[in-house]
Amino acid sequence: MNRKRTIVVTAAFLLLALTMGFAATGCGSGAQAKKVVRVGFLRNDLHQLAYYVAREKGFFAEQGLDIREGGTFSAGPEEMSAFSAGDLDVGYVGVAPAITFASQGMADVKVVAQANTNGSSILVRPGLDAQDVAGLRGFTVAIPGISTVQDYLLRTALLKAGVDPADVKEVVVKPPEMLPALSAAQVDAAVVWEPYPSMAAAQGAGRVLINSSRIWPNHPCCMVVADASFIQKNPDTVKRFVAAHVQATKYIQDNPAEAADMAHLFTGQDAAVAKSAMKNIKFSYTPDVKAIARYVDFMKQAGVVKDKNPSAFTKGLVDTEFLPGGGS
Amino acid sequence: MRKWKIISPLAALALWQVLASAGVLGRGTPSPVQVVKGLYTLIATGLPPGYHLQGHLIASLGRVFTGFAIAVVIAIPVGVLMGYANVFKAVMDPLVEIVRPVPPLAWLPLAVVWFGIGLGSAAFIIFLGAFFPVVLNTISGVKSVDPHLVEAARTLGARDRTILARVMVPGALPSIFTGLRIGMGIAWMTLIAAELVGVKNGYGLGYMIMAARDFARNDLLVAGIVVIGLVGFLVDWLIRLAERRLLRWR
Amino acid sequence: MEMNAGNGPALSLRGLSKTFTEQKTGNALEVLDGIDLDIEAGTLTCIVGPSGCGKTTLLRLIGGLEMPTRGEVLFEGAPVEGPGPERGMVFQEYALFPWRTVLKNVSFGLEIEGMPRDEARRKADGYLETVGLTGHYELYPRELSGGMKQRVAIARTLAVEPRILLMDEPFASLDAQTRNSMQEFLVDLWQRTGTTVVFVTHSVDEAVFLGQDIIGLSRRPAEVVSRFKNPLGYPRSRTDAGFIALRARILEYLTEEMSE
Repeated sequence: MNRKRTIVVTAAFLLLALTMGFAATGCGSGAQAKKVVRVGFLRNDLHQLAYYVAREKGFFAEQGLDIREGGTFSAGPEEMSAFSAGDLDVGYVGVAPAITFASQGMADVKVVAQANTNGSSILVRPGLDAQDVAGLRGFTVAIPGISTVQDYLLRTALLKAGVDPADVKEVVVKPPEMLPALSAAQVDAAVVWEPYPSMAAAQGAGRVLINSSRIWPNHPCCMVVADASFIQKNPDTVKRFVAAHVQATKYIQDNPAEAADMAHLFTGQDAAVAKSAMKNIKFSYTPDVKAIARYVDFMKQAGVVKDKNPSAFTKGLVDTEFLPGGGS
Repeated sequence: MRKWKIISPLAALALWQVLASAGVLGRGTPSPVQVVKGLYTLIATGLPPGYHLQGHLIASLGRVFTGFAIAVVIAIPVGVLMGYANVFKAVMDPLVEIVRPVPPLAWLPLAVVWFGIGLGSAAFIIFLGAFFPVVLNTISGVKSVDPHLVEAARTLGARDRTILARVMVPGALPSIFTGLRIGMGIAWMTLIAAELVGVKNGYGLGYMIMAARDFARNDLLVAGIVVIGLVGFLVDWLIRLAERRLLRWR
Repeated sequence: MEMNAGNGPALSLRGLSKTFTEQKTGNALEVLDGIDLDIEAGTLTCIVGPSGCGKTTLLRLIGGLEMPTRGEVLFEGAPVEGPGPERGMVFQEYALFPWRTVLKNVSFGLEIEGMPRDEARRKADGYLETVGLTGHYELYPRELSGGMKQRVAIARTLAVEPRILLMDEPFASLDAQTRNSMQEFLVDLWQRTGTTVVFVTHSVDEAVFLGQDIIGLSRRPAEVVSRFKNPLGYPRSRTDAGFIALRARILEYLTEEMSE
């Protein structure tokens, strides 16, 4: 009785192990072995729509890429931590967190393409009377993370309006919590990426004080970054990824209505909100190196970037060789 | 015996510094020297700049004590009653057993909706974390009270209320203290995690280490972790001190 | 200490029976079967019987810690409905509150009555003196010897001024020497206070030393099988011929009971 049972159990175990082994190697899954790429992106961030489009329209697959989602993150610094740990190969992330981590030597990444410019807003809560950025003096503003694009947009806006950033209280609130916090008047204002500003308007949680395109026209926002060692080992893969990304970006530019419908699928927002949000975003794939350099300077002044030679740093950060035309 | 206790931490520290100096540690790991410098930065400059360690400390301690105090004030009486009256226990058991397995942090999104991102939601999460160990240990403590003591009290004229207050509570106190220590440990851990999500006034130890992460400053991150660990240890030590004083009779 | 003013016996047991139902098996355990007994006020009565015969159950019924299955317990003419300070109990395991000092253990009953703290303290002092324990007030029970603990327990019970003292083999856990001195102490105490005492023991020697009346119980289900009047005067000597004779008689009787 005991012996028989042992044999049956052992056989079952071996069978299981064998099956799992096959599954792991992906054996028999298809004719051509695709190149695996571990990708990260931000949760509910409409700037990164190109990723969803490329995935759903099969652009990645056409390029022979097997996309594994390495994680969804609630803000840039989280995603950069994953790069730091070697968990991601390519990611859609804000340019500011990428600069922060790269300059601290915490993550070795290169910007290989841009995802969007503009697309953020400063929101204020319903009861707040401020009519312009100067009216934020003395109030509390929520940002998705320290040293994020939104953080710098806020400071830029304040400085332009002649307000000392120290006169405004910045708190970090994750974007999903921002709208409830605004409605409940726990924060007075928030700086956040689409679709949240459009959602706020639709829900009456807050109104838009100013669009980021008016704070700094065509400011770079989300980028496609890749781990430097991954680029070194798999330049062809990176090229193909960028190609799919470019294709998706063009698709969004040419088919905004369909893109808005797709956005609705991935961000959980209804099509109307998605459409209105997309109006504020400019999807473009070529990074503006001068604008990025301006970011780096700004962050150097803030003490976040330590490099003695910021322009050299910027040059080293951006790698345009994979873009169509081989970089401009 | 005391001297021997210091050897392994010191050795680990020395090893850590040696490895760091040799450049063997990954880019995410600062050296002990960097951590000490980071500690100084946290106190003097503050992280984010202008928000000093002292402020973060007070905010976190305030939150954890509020949630913990509420938990204890409710959990001990509930636990005593549940341990003493089987009917009450039968009624309360399903509630306790259904809520208990849910990790406190899972409530966070809901807590934020109910109480906002300030003290309220943090205190609520901490309350959930501390409540169950205290209740369960109180029940076990009450059940472990020698029945002869209860009978003796009755023959001396004690009624139910007196029995609860003057026999059950003191008798269960050793177990209650165990519950307090466990509850506080969970409360502290839960607090830090809850603060990572965001705090309204910009102060909190969990919030501080998240800022360190955002700035990619791992030296400040580890320094912050050291502070969190030390404070957790200190708070536990205080509870043990109170325990020793109140349980002198053992 | 009040003494019952002679309106009938202090304690009256009529057809007292107790059956326990085992929780798990549902088996019925008949412990006492029809006990009829009267005890006069101010007397020191000893109840002896073989181990496990139900002497403790009997005492607990009188104390109100158990309820009769049949029959009744009348204390000063009224049925007993629960425990109370007028029927004080002293347990074999002392049952001192470990978290309270000696003084606070003794003053426990007084605190419950609502007595102000200073007065309670003074009274507790007095009772500790009565049992011969002065100067030990701030010690905790774990720091006391068995004999001392039992004295504290007795003082604690005396403090609520019971009209009958129920003692359940209180000296059984003590060494022989301490036990003897505690017996002498009890006789002395009883003579000084005049409280009715019902003392349960399985030691015939102890019963003969202490009791004016010695009641023998049969084995389970117990009933009263004998009542001996102890003619010896106090203080008693264990080497006295009358003592030895009485002890032998009772022992023989009980041994017969056991072998039936």
